[in-house]
Amino acid sequence: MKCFSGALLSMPRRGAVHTLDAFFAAVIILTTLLYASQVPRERDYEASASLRARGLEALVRLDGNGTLGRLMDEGGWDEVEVLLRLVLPSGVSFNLTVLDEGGSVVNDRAVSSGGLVGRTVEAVDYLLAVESAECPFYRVRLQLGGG
Amino acid sequence: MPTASIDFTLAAIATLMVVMGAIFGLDMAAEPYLTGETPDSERYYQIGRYMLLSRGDPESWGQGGTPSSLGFASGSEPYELDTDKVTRLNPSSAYSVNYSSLWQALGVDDISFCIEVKPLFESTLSLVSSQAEGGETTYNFTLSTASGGYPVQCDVSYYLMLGNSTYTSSGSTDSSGLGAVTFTLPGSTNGTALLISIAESEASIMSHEVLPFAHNSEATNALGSFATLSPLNHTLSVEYVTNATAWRVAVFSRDYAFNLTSGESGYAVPRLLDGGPMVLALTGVNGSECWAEWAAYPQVPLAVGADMSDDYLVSDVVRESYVVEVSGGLYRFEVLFRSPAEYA
Repeated sequence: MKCFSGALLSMPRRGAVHTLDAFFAAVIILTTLLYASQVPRERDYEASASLRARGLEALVRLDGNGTLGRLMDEGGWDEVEVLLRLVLPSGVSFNLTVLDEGGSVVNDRAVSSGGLVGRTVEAVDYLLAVESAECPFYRVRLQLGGG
Repeated sequence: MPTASIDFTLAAIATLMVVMGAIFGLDMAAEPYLTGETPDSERYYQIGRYMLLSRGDPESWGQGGTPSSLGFASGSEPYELDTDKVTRLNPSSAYSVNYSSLWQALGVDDISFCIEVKPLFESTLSLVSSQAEGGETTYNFTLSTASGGYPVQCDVSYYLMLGNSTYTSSGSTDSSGLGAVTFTLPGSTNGTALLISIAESEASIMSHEVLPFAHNSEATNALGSFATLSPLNHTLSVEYVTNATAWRVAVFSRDYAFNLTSGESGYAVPRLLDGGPMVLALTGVNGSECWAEWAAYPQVPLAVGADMSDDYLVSDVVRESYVVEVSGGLYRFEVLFRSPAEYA
C-alpha cells in the first residue's frame, strides 16, 4: 500500500520535472538564438567589403603628390613599405610588386607587411607614371589581405 | 542541491557553449563566401565617398555659414579636403558646425554618423625628468611615434614656448619609434610652458603633439581658461576669457617658427609651401605667472557626431576609413555609421 501510494505521488513530480526541463531547454535555445543574431556581427569593425577600393585609394593618394613615383624611381622600397603601412588600416596586410614596361619585376626586395594574412585576399593593379625626364611607366600590383 | 540539478546545470552550460561555439565557428568559416555580409556596408562606403568627393552646398561653406549639402572636398584633386571645412568639424572651434546641422546637410534620415579625423600615426610626448641647478631647470622629454602599435621612424622639430621666449631643437625617433629632447629654462620665469613636436615620417605624412607643463609653478592652466583660439580662412581669431594680458602669438610648422601680427579681424596665418600641420600658440601673463593657449590648423585630431561608444546591442556600427589630404598633409578620415532602422 505504501509502495503503491509512492508510485502515484511520483507521477506528477516527474511531470513537473519534465515541464522544468522543457522550460529550461526553451530558455537555452532562445538565449542562443538571441546571441547568434547579434554576436557574429562584429561591432565597430572596419568594413571589409572594400579591400580593393582601399588599396586603390591608398595608391591614388600616395601618387597624387608624386611621392610614390619618386620613391619607386629611386628604389626606396623601405620608404614605400613604411608609406603603405601608414596609409593602410592596421588590420590590412599587403604585398607589393612593381613591374616595368617590359614586365620585369623592379623591386629587388619584398615590399610586404610580412605576408598576406586574412580570410579575404584581393589585388589591385595600378598604372603609375613618374614625373621625370625619362617618364617611366610602372605597373604596380598591390595584393591585400584582411577580413 | 540534488545531484540531478547539478547534472542538469552542467549539461545546460555545456550545451550552451557547444551551440554558441558551433554558430561562431560556422560564421567564421562561411564569412569569406558570403556576399554583402553587412547589409549596408556598401551604402555606407558610398555615402562616405560622397562626403569626401563633393564640395557641398554652398561650395565655400568652410569660410562661414551652415551647409545645406555636406561635402568636404576642396575642388582640386580627389580626396583633397578643404582645410576650413575640416576645421569647422572640431567642436572646440568657435566656428564649428554642430552635429545636428551636419546630419541635416547629409540628408540621409535613417543613419547616424560620427566623423573622426586624425594623423596617420600618433605622437606622444612625455616629461621624463626635471632637474633644477644653478638657477636653471633642465627638462628631459621623450617622444614616441607609432601607427597602431607599429613604431614609425621620424624626423622631428621641437619647439618650446614660454612667455616671450621660444626654444627650438630637432631630432628623430629611432626604429623603435622613440626619441628624446632636452630643454633648459631659466628660473626667472614661471608658469605654463608648451612643448610642441612636429614629426615627419615621409613627405606629407606628419603628426603633431603639444605637451603643456608647469615651470616653477604648481600646475598648468587648463586649455581655454584664458583664451580660445579659432583659426579659419587663414585668420586666427582669439576670444579672451578673462582680462589677462596677451604677449605673443606664434605659428610653428615642421620647418618654420615665427610670430604673427594682429590685423583688423585677427592674426593672419600664412600659407606654407611645405604643407603639413601648423600649431598656433598664444602666451600671456596673469599676475606673475605665464599662461599659454594653443590650437592646430587644420584643427585635428577631431571627433564630431553621434556617440558610438554604447548602444552596441541595438545596432551595428560600421567604420569606413579613407586617406585624405588636408593642407598638404595626409590624414585618416573615418566615418562611423549606425543605422537603428536595421533592427526596427
